[in-house]
Amino acid sequence: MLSVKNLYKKYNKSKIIALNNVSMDVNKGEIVGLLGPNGAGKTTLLKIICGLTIPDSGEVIISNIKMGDKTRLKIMEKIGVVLEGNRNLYWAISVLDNYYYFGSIKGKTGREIKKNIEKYADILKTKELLTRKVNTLSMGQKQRVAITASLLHEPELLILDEPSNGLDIESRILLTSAVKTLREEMKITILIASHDVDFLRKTVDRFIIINNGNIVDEFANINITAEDIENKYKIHANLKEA
Amino acid sequence: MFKYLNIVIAEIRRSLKESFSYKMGLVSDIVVLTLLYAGLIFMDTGSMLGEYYNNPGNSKTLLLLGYIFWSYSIAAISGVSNEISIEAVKGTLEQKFMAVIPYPFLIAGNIISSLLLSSIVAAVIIAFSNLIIGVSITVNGKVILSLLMTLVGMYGMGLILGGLSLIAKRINQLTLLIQILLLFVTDTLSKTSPSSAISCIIPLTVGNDIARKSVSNIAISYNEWLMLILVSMLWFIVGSVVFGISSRYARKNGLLGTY
Repeated sequence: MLSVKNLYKKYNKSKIIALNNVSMDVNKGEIVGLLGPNGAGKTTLLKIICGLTIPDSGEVIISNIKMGDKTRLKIMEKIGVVLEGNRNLYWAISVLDNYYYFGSIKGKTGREIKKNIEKYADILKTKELLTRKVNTLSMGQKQRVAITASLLHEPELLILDEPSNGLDIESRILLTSAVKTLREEMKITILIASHDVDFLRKTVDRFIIINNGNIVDEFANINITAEDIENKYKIHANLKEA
Repeated sequence: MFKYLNIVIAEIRRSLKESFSYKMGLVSDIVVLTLLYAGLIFMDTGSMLGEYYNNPGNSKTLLLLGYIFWSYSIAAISGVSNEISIEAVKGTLEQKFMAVIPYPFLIAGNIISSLLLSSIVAAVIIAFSNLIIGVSITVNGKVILSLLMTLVGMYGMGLILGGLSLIAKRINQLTLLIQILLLFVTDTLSKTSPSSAISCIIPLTVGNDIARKSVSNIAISYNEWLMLILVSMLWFIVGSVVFGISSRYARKNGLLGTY
């Protein structure tokens, strides 16, 4: 489903190597957690996968299409992305208006969007929020609305960056359950970048550990703790255990 | 084609809904532009316009026409860079770059919505001008055509500023300075004979001239129309190229999501 090969990215301004020959694969129908501390290279990796940042070298292949200037727009039809959670929405208009807008810019018609709102708003429990303005919602509700908006064009791959940030326990449980339902019922492949070990442990099938721009390990989800991660990979920064 | 149209309409709809949810912004635009117009009228600005266009006694009408053209033009040029800055702060810019059509089409939708709002402002200024000062204008097909062509060129200028804002981020003061400069160098307030070479390569100058000749019943040559088309297309093409290069630079340097 997603294949990343030898990605290298250095930001000229800061002279920091954000990604150092990173390679990884995500299989169809998998939920993969990309775990690493702040500054490990998670967001850069996600942004390159989304076509928002251009790597210095290496390639990204999504659904057998190699990311490039000519294929970027085609790939956008296949991915749903929530990079900054609640900041990915227009706060001054209603949830429903946001849904129609984000569904439209992904190429769907009003009728298709309406059908998909029924489907995904049910899974993400956002149906009762449709008429409310986004600025009246709680953090957890905004996060679920943002994820729903990213699904309305029925992507094959869903990419979430730090989706559990700022969420209370109830919202985290809801989010974990929704992510699993999306995979089970909609067969969506999901890649989640986070430094929240607890959330990932309850949600993903497989971990990929990233630190200092390198993939340092990957393994099937076991009952791993933040302490284990810190001890094994010498990652000390901000790994959160809720 | 349908996909592009559908998305541009969605952008117009969203932008209008958002603008109407911030009513004070629209009201302050109306108040500021109407007061500025009133100030220009009471300072007897553009008193020679009627003489130049062989339309004595109608200087104020010609000034009003130029002012309306200018107010639409500043909406077109500031729309791109302001929208990029605002969207970057809100966090929605990256989502728009992940649309299934190129980002400039979304910006075009946004500009159309700005122009619709500018029409409300223009209507208020015209009504104010008619009721308080007794100055009215008659808009004909040539005026509308020259306005539309002018706006294509001014949108191109906006794309250059938009490209700059993707990289340099805060360029609001520069945009404001250009808006003010345009008021003085595009024959909006007076008419130099002939217009300077620099002002002639600005679509607003050429569009203003054609529109004023049209309402003054002066024949407009094919060369003048051709000049407007060429100047506007030039700005549009240069703007599109600069924006393309800038957005690639921003993607290369990870600048899209930062502000």
